[in-house]
Amino acid sequence: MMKILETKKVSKSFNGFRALQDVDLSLEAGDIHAIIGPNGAGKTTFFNLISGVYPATTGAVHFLQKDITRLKPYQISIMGMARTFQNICLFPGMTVLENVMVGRHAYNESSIFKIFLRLPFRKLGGEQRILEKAKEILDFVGLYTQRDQMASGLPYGDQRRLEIARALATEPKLLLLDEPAAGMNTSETEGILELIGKIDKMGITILLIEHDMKLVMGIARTITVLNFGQKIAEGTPDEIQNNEKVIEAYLGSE
Amino acid sequence: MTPLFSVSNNDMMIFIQQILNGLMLGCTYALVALGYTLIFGLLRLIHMAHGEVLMIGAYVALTIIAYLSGNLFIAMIGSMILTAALGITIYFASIRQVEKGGHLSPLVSTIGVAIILQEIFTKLFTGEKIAFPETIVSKNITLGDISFNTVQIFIIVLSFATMFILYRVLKGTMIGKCIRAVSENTVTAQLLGVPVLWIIVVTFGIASVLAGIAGVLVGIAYHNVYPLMGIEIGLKGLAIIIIGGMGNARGAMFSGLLVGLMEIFSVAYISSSYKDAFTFGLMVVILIWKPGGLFGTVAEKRT
Amino acid sequence: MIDPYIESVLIFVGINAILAYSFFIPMKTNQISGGQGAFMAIGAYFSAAMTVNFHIPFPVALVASGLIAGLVGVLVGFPALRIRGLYLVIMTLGFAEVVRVFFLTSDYFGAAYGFSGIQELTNLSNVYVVLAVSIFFLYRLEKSYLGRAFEAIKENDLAGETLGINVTKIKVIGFGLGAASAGLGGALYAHYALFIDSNNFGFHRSIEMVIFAIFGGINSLWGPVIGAAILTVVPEVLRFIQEWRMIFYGMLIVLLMTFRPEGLIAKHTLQDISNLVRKTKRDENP
Repeated sequence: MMKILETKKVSKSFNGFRALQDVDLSLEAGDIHAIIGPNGAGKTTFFNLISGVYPATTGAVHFLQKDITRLKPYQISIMGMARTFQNICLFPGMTVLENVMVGRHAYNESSIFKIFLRLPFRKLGGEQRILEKAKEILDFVGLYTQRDQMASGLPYGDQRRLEIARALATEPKLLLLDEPAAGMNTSETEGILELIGKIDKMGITILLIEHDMKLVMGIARTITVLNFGQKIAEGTPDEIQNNEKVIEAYLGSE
Repeated sequence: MTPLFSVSNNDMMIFIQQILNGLMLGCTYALVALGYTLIFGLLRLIHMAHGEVLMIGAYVALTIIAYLSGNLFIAMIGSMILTAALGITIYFASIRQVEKGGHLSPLVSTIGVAIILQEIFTKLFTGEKIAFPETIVSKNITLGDISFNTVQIFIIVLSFATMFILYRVLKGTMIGKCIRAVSENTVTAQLLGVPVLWIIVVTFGIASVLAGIAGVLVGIAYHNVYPLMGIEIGLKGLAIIIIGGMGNARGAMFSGLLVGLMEIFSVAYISSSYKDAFTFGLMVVILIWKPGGLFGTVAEKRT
Repeated sequence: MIDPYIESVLIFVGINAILAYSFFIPMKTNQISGGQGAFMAIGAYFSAAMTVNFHIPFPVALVASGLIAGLVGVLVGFPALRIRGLYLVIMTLGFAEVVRVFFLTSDYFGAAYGFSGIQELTNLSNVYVVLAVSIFFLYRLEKSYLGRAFEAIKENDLAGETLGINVTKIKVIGFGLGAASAGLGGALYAHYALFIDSNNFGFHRSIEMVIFAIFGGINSLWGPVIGAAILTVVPEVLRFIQEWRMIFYGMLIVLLMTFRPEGLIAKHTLQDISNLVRKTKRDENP
């Protein structure tokens, strides 16, 4: 099994505050891997690090066996990593469909010249394909009927789905989901569970941050636990549930 | 700008005179910048009509001295009262209603106000420069080899006194604490019972009074007033708050003085054409290298 | 033949529209530039030098000065990336002042005496050809993947970057295109005013461009041209209230910002109008 993502002793400090310390992670392709930990453990910082939002202070990140430690987010995205955000980062002024179409940016088949110099009645090459693919993805996540609504007008649960759809539009090999079920009720969470299952069947590796233990135990095959910026445990759901350090971290912090 | 003192042969003498000139100019800049920075700190707004408040302050003083009594003190008070009222009116008439439009709309709206005010005063007083009556006897005092001028001293002393009083108010009084609280986090301040609207009114009042005083001082220093006098100083004020750090009062004061000195020195030792370039050039450099300004800007406000 | 006065107003409308677009374009990526006067100055002075000193034909000088201004815009665009919102407004304002001083002190460009002797090579057709091409360019852009990328960056540039959009490249392109537009406007202006000096391109001019665009509506392609048209024509039409026209102008701005901050033409205004027209027609012919 290929290691799709590896972090080697990755650390991140903000002005002296150590958010992450020496985190080693090894992600197998095709896995559904959850990162859990009490609030402030550094989980989202970790996501930001591997997706290139900020550079690691020390350590290395390897994606698809290539060193991406110094790459910019858009370059990492083109390589095949996509993500969603803890606080939903949709494009509120654009429609549902348009949001997903932005995800197809890297798949455009034109150039600046073709945009301006094409004859008036010939459609821009690739534009039709982008449109079709976007519709396909919306159908996959169950938002096809809302495609012409404003993204900001969607109910909360659907907004999270839209963010996932948008990320899927980049045809990623690795999908990072930051608290995909945050703020959802039981039935919405079930829906997300189902969606993650569908994505998994497509062969996409999934790395997710979640607080909802039922979701995590229900879907994750491997779990890594972070606390105070350090990895304190890693293993299958059963192993983690019985791990003393983990129990202490959660109970101790309450 | 004509020096208000007699130039003596000694280079050191010239140097000291320039420092005094620089301080004098710098004081007016500092007062204007303080006004801008207080308003920015509070509302994250750039008040594009602030220079016009300064201009009106100068005209009010002029009117009082010329047509009512010849007393500078009364003129100052009158100017302070009227500019405070003006500043607060501008807030209610053109800023408060517009804030919901995002942060560009108040900016553009205050530009509209500036245009209106410039026009009104051009109508009232003609666009020509009107001589500011002499209220302080301009005398040269000699201390050893250096000669000071009473006008210079007056301006510098009055400015420093004003800034000192302001500093005490901001740091020491309840109002000052409230202003700082609202600047940092409006919602929290509200929850703690701070009457936010009153604080805004008071801040606009203070900022406008500072501009008014600066206007009178500019009139005294340059011996004239004209309706467009607010524009250039207004623009400089913006550059100064960037250099000092937007929302930072200490930064505004220090940078105002710094820029005043810098400009006078560049006029004296290089060429008068370049003085603006230095100020704005410094501003651009700061923005690229240390965007928070020399003293740091206010943190991102959660509103 | 058109009445020369009306022709002159129309030419200014055209030039002002091109200038309004120079603010509009960077604004599409959330870059608020308060110093487009600088690029206008570059376009004006360089094109004047080209036609007067080197007898370069006007169309070539026009395009070349647009390119030069655009290039400077790209250079400024890079450091501008680090600065956001209101800070960028002020930085660009400051940059414009620096450029103004440059032309004020440059003997080659006439320094304080200005640059005179420019031929009147601007006319109604070339202004409107440039304007039409610009609007067409922007129209095509909006409907393409690039247009979506611009908008995505405006709404949430971090999200955009994680979706594969090279935000740096696009923002710099936006800034450069805006600068080029201002340069074109400047060149057209120079060859109509026949005399230019650094004061023409200062703070007032930059702010004017901002107001034209915002008044018309920065979320719609037609906003800037309509804003420029109205704000250029209104002071002329109000010549009979000569005394009060600037006050009126100022009040117009304040009122619009209070009651309709999105500008005259909001994002869907034109769409709404055409829907309304269609609905009315349908009601009339059941």
